[in-house]
Amino acid sequence: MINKFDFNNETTLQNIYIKNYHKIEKYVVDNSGTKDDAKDLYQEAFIALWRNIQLNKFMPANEAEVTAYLYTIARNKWLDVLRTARHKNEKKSIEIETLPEIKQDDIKTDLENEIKAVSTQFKKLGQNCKEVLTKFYFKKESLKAIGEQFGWTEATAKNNKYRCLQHLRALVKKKL
Amino acid sequence: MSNEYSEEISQEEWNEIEAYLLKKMSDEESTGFEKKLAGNTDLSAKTNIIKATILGIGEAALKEKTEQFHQQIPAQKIPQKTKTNWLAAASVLAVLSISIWLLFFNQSKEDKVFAAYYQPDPGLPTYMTATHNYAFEKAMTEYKSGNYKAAIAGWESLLKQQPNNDTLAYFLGNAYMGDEDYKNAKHYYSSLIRSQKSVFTNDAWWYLGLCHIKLKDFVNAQAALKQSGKEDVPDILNELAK
Repeated sequence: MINKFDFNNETTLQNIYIKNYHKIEKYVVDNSGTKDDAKDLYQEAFIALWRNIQLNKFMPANEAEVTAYLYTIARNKWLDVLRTARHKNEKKSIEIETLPEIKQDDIKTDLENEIKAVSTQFKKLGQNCKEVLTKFYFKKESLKAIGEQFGWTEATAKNNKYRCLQHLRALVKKKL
Repeated sequence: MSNEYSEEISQEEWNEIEAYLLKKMSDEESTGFEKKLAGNTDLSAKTNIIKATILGIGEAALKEKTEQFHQQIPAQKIPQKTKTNWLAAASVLAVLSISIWLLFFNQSKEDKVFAAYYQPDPGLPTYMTATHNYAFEKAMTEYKSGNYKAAIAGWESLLKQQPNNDTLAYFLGNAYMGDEDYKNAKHYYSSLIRSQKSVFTNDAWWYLGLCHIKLKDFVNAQAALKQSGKEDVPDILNELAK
């Protein structure tokens, strides 16, 4: 089974990203899309894959399962895109009524909505806060190491991290 | 969700919950926290908030990273020049060639081409909940597990109620193909192609071409493969012409 910690490892993520991109691009381009469509769709699918692994909604036993899952998410998302009115007008040859009804986003939970809200509001934080939180939660750096990079003590890094989190929570609460 | 907890989360409380979620607690501490968590809706709501915050930050960071990852894709395609021990490489190549020759010696042309180009469709995701089409998804689960006969039984039963459903026709073709029943697979792909323009049409043409290859009908195979518009078409046609 692919370890969740490994799936936060940047090199592992990059390898999986690069390895699977062309297959998705080919699928989108083969089905009325452009390379730019493929890139947007793939990045969205890749993040959904990461989230579902973190939430234990998907527990891959090996890399082949990751590839198949990624392909399936991307394909479902593309079928959703083909259903949109804009695309319906542009691609009249595709009878969207015949597309499958299964939608990836149908089963978003409160937790997933909250994750999305946090992710959106995160962009509004100041640069220092973004860096501190990314280093601690995504890159798994210690508070001591983060403090050293900013010229802070470990205790200051800890307090600053909490302040950034409070700021982030306030932004999320305001939006929800 | 954000209003379900009683008050602001203190720094001390945040650190404790975070230590639990990030698995920075000892087994004993973790068990103690779980006991505290059981039945405590306020603590449970706060734990969910912190979990969502940690994952939301991770998701935002990953979004930025994917842009960097994407820049790396073309670099992967540039052939790397490396120092090679040509003698060793030649030996490996010779062993590989013999192995491949032995492996394919008894295979016919159609089997070789088919094996080189056939990749089963991975199927659609299944949720198996009341809100989705349970019978369709049950068959999809069977399909993804390689139980093609069970998948066929499920989908053929649904097809009686929805005879024009292109998704059913496409996956029935795939299931028959998985079951190595190329005549029936051909039947479903052909019916999908004939009946309508569907998002599965290109894939159906491709798999139909592969069915024709298996059935040694190279003329129809070529015609179907060309219709699929797939990137691999020139290569596979070249292989068939040899």
